[in-house]
Amino acid sequence: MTKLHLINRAALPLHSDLLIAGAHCAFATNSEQILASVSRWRCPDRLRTGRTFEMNVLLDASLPSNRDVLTQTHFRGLHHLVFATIGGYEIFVFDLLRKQVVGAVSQASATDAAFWNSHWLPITVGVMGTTVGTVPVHTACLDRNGKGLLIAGVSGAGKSTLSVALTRCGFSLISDDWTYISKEADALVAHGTSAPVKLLPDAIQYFPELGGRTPKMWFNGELAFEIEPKAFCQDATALRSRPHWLMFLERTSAPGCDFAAYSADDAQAFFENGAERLPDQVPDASSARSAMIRSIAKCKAWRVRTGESPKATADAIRLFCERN
Amino acid sequence: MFTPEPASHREPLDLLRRFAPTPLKAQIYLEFANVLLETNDLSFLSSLSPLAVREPSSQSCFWKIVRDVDVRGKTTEASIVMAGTLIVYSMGPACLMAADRERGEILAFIGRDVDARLFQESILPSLIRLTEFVTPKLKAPPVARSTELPFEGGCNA
Repeated sequence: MTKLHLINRAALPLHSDLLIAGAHCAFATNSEQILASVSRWRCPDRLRTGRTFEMNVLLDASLPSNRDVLTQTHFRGLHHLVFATIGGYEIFVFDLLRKQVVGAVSQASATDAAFWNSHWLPITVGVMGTTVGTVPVHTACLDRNGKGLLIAGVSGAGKSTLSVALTRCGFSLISDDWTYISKEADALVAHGTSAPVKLLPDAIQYFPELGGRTPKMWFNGELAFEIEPKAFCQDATALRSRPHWLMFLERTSAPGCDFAAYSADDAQAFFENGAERLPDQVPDASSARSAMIRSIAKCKAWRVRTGESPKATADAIRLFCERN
Repeated sequence: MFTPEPASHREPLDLLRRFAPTPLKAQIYLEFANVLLETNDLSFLSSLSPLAVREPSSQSCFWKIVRDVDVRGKTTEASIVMAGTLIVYSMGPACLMAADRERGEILAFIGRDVDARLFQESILPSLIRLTEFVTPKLKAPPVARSTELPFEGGCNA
């Protein structure tokens, strides 16, 4: 039988303000369990502004709970709408034009805090953030004494492995994969979500403690270990920093670790080319993202070409940052 | 039958297939609305032809229907989300449709294994109902229209 979900604020009496990676989410649901699952993002009551998006989530306890988030999630977008289905029954719709997310979930999702905290809320900010002034960029981010280090690079360059190595020489991990950039009082702020670190299977040669763990399939079909940041670096995580250094990581077979200046134009082009094209229906989001990318590209930037191990590269970066 | 080739999703990055080309355009007069259809699969147009009438309606609606060649498999049980001016009708990844009343448009992805028969029997009737949703009858009182449910089924809210 067809499942019909009527989702509006009247049907969702439980409200909470969430602050996720710098984005304000006015959250509503009919489920105490969902509210408890997202409670780590709760912030004191905030006024709605142009940087707020609304998220309305209905728990439908009659929906089957047998779904696998990592392998059965499907995304598509047309114009201002993005669809996501999870398994055969759970569904979310992201409306970029009206800054609104609606969804219907099963009991399994309602009670699964890891689903919300490690996957769904970070994904939601990834989809909606650009419309509310929080721009997702495909970089790792670490903090050292309040200064942020953004590490960009093509997929497979080793950003995550290097990030974990950096946490062992004085840096705090904010993100190993996606970092969310916003502006506060005209200054850039880099945010993370404490999402699990994703390490490719070959990382086991650098981190023997991965032995005994089993890699799993991710949204993009990639096989990787999923590690809670604190498993590697107790007390070496942070949620935000001020971007200061920007490094573009390149692997080479030649020994050594070489730093060369990287132009703001090249940095801007790297991020623009790596950003998902936005629909014509939200032109303001496109221009706001470009402006944010121009600001990021003004950070002091270097290309880091390394043929060394993650640990040796991390040591070289630490020394370099101390001098620059 | 026109068979769309898989599109590149890398240059520029388009992981959501938002910019899948829909080069085929047609204007179809249905009984209650004039539909401007954009699609990448001629077979959708063929399915609509029997419903066409000669005279245009006073209502208009835009349909964008993308044949999603990357999605295999049949449709699943239907699920409908109604939220404000949106209705989303899903039968799993093989059939995702949304109607935006405020914008007068219907946006849809249909998987590659959905054949003409399945489209005509299961999906087209829902498309018609979604079109009725985005082009409300002019004479109906506003209150009645806003509470009218265009689909039958169990309500879970």
